[in-house]
Amino acid sequence: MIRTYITIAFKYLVRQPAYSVLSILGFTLAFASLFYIYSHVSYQRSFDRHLETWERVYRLSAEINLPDNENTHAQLGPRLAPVMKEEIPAIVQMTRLVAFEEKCIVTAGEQIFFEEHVYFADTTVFEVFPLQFLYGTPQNALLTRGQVVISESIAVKYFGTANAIGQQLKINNDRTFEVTGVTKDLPENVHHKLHMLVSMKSLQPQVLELLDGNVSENFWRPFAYNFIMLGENNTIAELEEAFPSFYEKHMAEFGNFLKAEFKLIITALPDIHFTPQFSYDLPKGNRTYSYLLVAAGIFLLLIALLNYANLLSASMASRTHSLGIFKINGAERSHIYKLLITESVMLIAISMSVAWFMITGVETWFTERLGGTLLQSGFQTGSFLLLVLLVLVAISMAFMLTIISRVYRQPIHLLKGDSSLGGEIKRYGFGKGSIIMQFTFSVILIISSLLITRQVNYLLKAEVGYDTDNIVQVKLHAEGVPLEKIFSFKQELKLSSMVQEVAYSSNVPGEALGTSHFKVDVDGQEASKIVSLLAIDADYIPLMQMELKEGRNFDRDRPSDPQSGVILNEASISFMGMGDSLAGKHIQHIEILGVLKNGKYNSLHEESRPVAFYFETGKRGYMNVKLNTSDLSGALEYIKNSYEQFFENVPFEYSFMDQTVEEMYKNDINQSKLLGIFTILSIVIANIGLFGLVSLLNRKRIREIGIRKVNGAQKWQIVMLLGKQLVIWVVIALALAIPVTWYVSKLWLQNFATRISFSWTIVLLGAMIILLSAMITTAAMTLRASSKNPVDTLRYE
Amino acid sequence: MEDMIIQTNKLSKLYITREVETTAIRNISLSIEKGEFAAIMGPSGCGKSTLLNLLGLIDRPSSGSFSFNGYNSDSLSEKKMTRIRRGNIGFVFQNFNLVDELNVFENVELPLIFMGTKRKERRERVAEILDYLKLGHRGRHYPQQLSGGQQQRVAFARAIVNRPTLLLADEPTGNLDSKNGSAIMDLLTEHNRKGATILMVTHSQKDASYAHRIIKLHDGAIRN
Repeated sequence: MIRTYITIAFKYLVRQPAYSVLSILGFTLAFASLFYIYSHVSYQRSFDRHLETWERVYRLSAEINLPDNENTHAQLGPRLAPVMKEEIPAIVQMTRLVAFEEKCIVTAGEQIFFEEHVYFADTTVFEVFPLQFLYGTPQNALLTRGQVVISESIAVKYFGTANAIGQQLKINNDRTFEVTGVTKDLPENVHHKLHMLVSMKSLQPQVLELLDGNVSENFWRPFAYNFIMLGENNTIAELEEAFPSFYEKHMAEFGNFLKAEFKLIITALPDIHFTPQFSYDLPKGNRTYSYLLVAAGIFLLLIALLNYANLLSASMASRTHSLGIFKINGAERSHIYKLLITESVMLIAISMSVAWFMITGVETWFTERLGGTLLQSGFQTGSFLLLVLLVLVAISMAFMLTIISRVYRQPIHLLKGDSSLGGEIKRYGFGKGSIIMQFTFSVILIISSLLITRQVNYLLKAEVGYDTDNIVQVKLHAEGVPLEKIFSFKQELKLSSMVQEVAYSSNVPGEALGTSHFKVDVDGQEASKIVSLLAIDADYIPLMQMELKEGRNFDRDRPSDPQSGVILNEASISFMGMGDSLAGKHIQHIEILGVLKNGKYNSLHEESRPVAFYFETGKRGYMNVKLNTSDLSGALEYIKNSYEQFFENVPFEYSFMDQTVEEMYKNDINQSKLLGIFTILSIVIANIGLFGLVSLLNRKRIREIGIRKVNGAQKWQIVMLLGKQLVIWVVIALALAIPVTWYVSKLWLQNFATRISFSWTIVLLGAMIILLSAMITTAAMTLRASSKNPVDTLRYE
Repeated sequence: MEDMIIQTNKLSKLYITREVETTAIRNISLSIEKGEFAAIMGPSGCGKSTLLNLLGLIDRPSSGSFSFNGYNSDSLSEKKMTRIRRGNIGFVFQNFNLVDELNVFENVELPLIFMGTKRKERRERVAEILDYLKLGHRGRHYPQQLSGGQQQRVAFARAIVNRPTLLLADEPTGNLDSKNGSAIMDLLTEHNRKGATILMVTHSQKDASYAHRIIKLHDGAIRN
């Protein structure tokens, strides 16, 4: 019997191509979006859940509140975790990761690369993070000075083989380490990538001393990422309960000295990647976007369902005849029901298959443009598919029951087809309602998408107080090289006519800056202020076209400037609390030479941070090269050649400043693109549903159209008949959509310290877009209907 | 009584729309014997098709009662009516009423599917009937690919595939030329000779002449 149902359902679908194709198209687009969203969200949710200990591992961070100064630190003192482990029974193990600077030069023979995420690690690291060892053993891997454990892909990259035990790696052209262990690669979705771990004992002796000294300051000073692991039956509550007395015993002394408040933040390992950006932390994910994507996916699916409901309702007009024949020939309600369900399931299954093949086919396109792997969790996707299929079948069954109860009349009336017994009116009512709902969802997505795009554009174009165009940032990693070489490199660059200006900086916009705290005199009271630090040379401010609000730039002819001069950004004015004019004043023994206008160096997700620029050219950092040519490849080649003259055995690495700035908003940009795609899909699907409803309405009004034409109506007048209704539907959809969108966008915009406000222009634009797309669909179809000869339509009677 | 397959008692049907009430048939009392071939005749709009639909259990009366094969229509639910129809009543319509999405074989197979007949048996019976009606070579064709006469033969095949005791035909030759019309009437007659009861609505005096009895309707009532 099933076979028969499948045959009949299949044949009906083949013979009703418009209905089938449009339904499949709507579902396919929705499913494809859902697959991607599910995979993306699974990937996000599976961050740091790969190791068996993940449920018991926590990272310690802290909110440190000085008078007039608050900061949240991801790195804390080197003594914190070890002493907590000794004194708090709930903690069964701890480990620390001390980060090398952002990028290290790693050399093995001829192979030289920059590597990020290189850490010094305690021997306990493999208990807290039980990596799978392919070669070597965790017990012996990081016991002594000069040892390194690397991941499999690192081993292959440098040595051509995973078995790299005994091989040598040089880090920063300075120290050599022996490979004592090779571990299996962890997946991409981990916050701290543990692919290169150096033994903690490899730290310099004076630093090692710091690790062991139990002075109070060593619990506070940002030095290491501190991780603790709870016992299997222990809870965080025990740790939180024990901490106050621990604090009093070990940390209160320095806290009192700083007049600071210390709030411990204990973050579960999988949540680390999604907590707000702390100082000394790595780039983070954003869960708000995951929620946004899930909402978009659900909307799309709802729109596709409503669309299918509309098409099905529209198809009922032609289907009642065949249903009548079935009934006359002995079909009961259950037979009809099973037949229609089979058809639904078939449609859904075909759509899912097409969506699956489509999305795996365009995986590379997605990955290149939107970042991240498309489908990372195969098995989970399989179970998700099943879940979606079951849910949809359940919804279809519920819907079919409704349809069947409506069309279930005496067989002879079904045979007569569209003769009105009131059911058609109800069907149209349902069609209108579902179209309005589809429009509502589409409007929500359109307005949200426009808002996000506007916010992202605002971020990218926001006035930050410096110019980012045509500036190449050359990474400097010049340990072991005399400082004179860096100056010579700078002079060499300036020789080219393609180069306008060259200047040194220790960091580039968006990077985490070092901090220092200063004691300042505020109205006769001493206050401690923590500011970010950025080292620059005298050419940096002119190169970046920064403007000084007051005071002056650094002067290389004034020997005191490097020693005791500093320039602050505008955010420092209110932060320092030393009055509106700062130039000429002193912080401790340092003179404030000038104050920059604006000078926002951090992401606009956060409030602008106070930054102190000091005069220094270092061996690490960046040489910023302002170009005055459009021949970028020529300029880059010149820069590279110059670089290689002065820095052998150091990889040449560069970026463009505008790209670096854009990188700060990479997540926002990607998510805005994604939402844009989903919005377009929702408009397409909503119009597919509209297509169904309009064809039903046109079929009903075909006679009316014929009569109007006979009486002189023009085609455009006939189109406007339905057009008027459309405007009403869009207005209703807007009325429903605006409160939802307003609320959601208000929540989302709170992620940004610098943000746009909710704009009615966007609402109007959203309304215009949906109305225009609907008018086009309706006009095309109604024009077609109105093109028929009246004699053909009236002859129907 | 045992020879009566259909008996009606003051059967009426009223159509009510928003503003208009139309009496299609009123107070019709008649009996049809087993094995009878009866024709219902009358002018357009006199209620012939309505009466046929009521007797075929594909519509409900507004008042009155009738019994079919001992079943009284008063107590019948929709499900019950469907089950009685199934296997007992076959229909042939003027406009054939074939399912366009199914081929000839599948159209004829329909009543057997809903009867729950096993696949093998279905195939055998359908093949047998199509051969009998000289449509065996058209099994995979679709209704749109057939002539009017062939379509009506397919409809006839579908109507009799379940070997029903009652065959209802509503203007079976209305859309056919005279040659094909005669062929259909021959089939009906042949089927009646094999024992089936046939009730036919027709305008055509010629078609009515095949019947044993003519029931004349006028304005919804039987004309004496």
